[in-house]
Amino acid sequence: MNLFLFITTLLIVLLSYYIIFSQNITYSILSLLLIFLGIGILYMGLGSVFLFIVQWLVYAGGIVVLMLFTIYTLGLKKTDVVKLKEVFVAFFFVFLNLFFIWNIFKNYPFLKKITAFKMDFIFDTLLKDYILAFELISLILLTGIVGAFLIVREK
Amino acid sequence: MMGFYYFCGILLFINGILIMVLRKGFIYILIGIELSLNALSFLFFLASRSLGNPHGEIFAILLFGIAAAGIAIGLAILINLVKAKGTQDIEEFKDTGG
Amino acid sequence: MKTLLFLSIVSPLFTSIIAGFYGYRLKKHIIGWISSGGVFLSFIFLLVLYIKKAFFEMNLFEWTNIPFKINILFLSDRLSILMGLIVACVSFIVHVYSIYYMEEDEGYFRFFSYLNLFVFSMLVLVLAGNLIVMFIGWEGVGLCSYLLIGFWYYKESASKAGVKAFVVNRIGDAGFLLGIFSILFACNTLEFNEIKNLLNTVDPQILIFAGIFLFIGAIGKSAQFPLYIWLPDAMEGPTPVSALIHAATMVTAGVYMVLRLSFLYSLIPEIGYFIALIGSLTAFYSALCAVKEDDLKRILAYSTISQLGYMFAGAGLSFYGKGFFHLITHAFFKALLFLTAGIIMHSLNGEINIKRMGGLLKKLKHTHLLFAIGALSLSAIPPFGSYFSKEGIIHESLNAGYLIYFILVLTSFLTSLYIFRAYFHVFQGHEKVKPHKEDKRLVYPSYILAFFAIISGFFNFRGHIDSIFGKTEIHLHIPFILSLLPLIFSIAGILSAWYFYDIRKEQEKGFIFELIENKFYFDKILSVYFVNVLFKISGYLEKFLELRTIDRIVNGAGKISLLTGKIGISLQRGSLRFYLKLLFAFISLLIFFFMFRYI
Repeated sequence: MNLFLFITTLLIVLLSYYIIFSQNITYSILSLLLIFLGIGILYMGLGSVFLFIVQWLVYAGGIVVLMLFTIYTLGLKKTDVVKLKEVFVAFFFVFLNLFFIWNIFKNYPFLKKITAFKMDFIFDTLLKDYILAFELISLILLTGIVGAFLIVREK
Repeated sequence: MMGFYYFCGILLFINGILIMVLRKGFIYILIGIELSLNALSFLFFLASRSLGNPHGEIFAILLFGIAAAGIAIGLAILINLVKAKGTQDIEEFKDTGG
Repeated sequence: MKTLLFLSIVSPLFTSIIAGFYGYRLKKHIIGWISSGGVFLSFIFLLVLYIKKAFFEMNLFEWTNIPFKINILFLSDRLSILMGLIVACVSFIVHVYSIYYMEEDEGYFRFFSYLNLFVFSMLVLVLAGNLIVMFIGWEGVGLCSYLLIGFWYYKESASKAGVKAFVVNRIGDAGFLLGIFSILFACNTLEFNEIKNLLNTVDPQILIFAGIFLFIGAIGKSAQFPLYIWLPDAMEGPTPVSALIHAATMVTAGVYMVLRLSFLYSLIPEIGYFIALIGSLTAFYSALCAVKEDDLKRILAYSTISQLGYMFAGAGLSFYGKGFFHLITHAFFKALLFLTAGIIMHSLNGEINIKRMGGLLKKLKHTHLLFAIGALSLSAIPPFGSYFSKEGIIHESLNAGYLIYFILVLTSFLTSLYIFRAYFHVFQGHEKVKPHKEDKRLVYPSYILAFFAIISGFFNFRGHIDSIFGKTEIHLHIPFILSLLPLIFSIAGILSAWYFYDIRKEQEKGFIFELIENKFYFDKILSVYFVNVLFKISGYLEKFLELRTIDRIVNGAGKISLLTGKIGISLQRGSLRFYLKLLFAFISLLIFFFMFRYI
């Protein structure tokens, strides 16, 4: 089981590098789909079935399909080529940042043991302590839908 | 093992940012945002597991909502941009005041 | 009870918002009555609090406790509630007056919005429970004063006067802030009741600094000697504003602050004597200015400065009760004088120069009566309220020696001289401008004020006001002639005004007026002996300091801002990716600095 998760994680990271350099929009969106599916698997492997289902439904089922749909409607094919100079500068910064982050977190007291929570505990907390945030999210979603409609609407 | 997951989550987040910075297509910026947000919720989830409290997991759930709203607006903007100039290259949109 | 206090503070704010945001939809008089109603409500609430003797502290909420605790705290005690009552009462009458006074003005609802906002800020200032809340109200009334002086903003002189008032008040505010800081430094708290208990343990050296700085703030707000220059110009605003803000309430805020901190000032009598000296000199000087002034409103403005000087003299010599008593009586009769001046201006189409008026006695009968009541009050003639307060201050000042006593007595002569000079010019003689009929609706509110001006002497019945400040004043045995002297001087002032006023020529004659006209030849002496020398010195300074050093610094500053502007332009490219790159570069920088915290 652990090995399976390990390989999945590696694949996800490699696929994300593929997106940076890919020349085909469809392929990059499909690899994004694979990344989302993989993260879903990681959620399940680490013990949260709910997040796994939501991840697959919302991201893989909703967002990626929406993106593909938009791409095909607009007929976008041509993409740009990444400049090599920019890539080198960017990766230099990335390594620098990784070094900083490692320095910050190397002494951080994380628990070694993985604890899994029961579903009802999570939702008790969500609907008691975080009820305001929850409602706000619903409001943001509503605003998002209405806003998207208003932006696209023909004048 | 936990450290490895953390490392990969951070790498995913940074790769999302790299996609945003390096690519010129507007759709790639959206992809980058989605990837970063997803990596972020994954990191929240991991933190919730390793710190032993449920708050991280709840934040992951809330982030799903934000990401969905964001992509809806983003795609609508993409449609309008392509309608306006026939291309999705953001270097062409310097005159929009952004 | 706490709700009542809260409502009494908030109701003017509420009506201010109504008048400001919805005023343009409503009819003019309705806005006026709504605004007056808000003020009347707070008057009623405060009256209930005062009658029920509900004295407490109300902590609205905690604003911050880092690095020291600041609450939004309101304090209800006899001093604050009584002062609030005076404010609300005079404000209500002036509101009702201005419903009709301003009815032809374009910015009617704007006027009432500002006026109500002013009442709100003043109540915050008065009912404040700590120095910070007081400072909020202090700044609020300063802002409203600025807005209302420049109310007719299209008049250049008005907007300039507004700016002048604002800037001069800033100087005082800086002093007030420094005072707050020194009290914070000394006591580590800003609440009045806590300061009161802590003061005995504090180094008196710091208290002297605090007293001086706070007094500078009071000077700025109450227009005392060096900073009095804004008040005469402030008369550019509408007359109700002059009556309410620049005579009755706001300018007394400085005196009120000294009274509020009376426990502080009673510990440092040297500073108190200094305050009294400044106050009495200001009283004398501005009374002199008023004698030669021809503008009716400016006469009243100088007279306000002069009366404030009396209050400071009383408060500085630690006769806080007498100072507060004079504040109350002054609020009534000075507002009355301003309102009558407004009626006179109204019926003469805005004429304000007393030399061009005359003979209004026959046409404006009510106004004549009202002005006479106000003028007699100002001159402190016995049956009127201010006799008791002003004589009180003058008598008690004998405790501190003869200097202040004689200055104040002389000032009371000048006071009745200038106000009756104005009276004879306006009402006696023959008509020069034909007046309209006086507006009855403006007269009735003024009668209420006249009533209060007459009876306000009874407010101190059995030492009611004196007892607010805990201790009763020491009563010297005053020789009979000295106790009668102020009254004699006042009457002498009236008589000499009558004597100097020649009905045929209608201008002053006599030695005193010549002397005053030339301002005691101060200007000439100054110009010969000081100004020439100063010009030479400043010529050298210009060469060496101005051109060689300061100019270079100033030009350098300009060049630096140009350079930063160029850098800023190069950052604003309009490219989304460039912004993202910048954003992430700076985030990496941030992470870099975070590293040092955990490393």
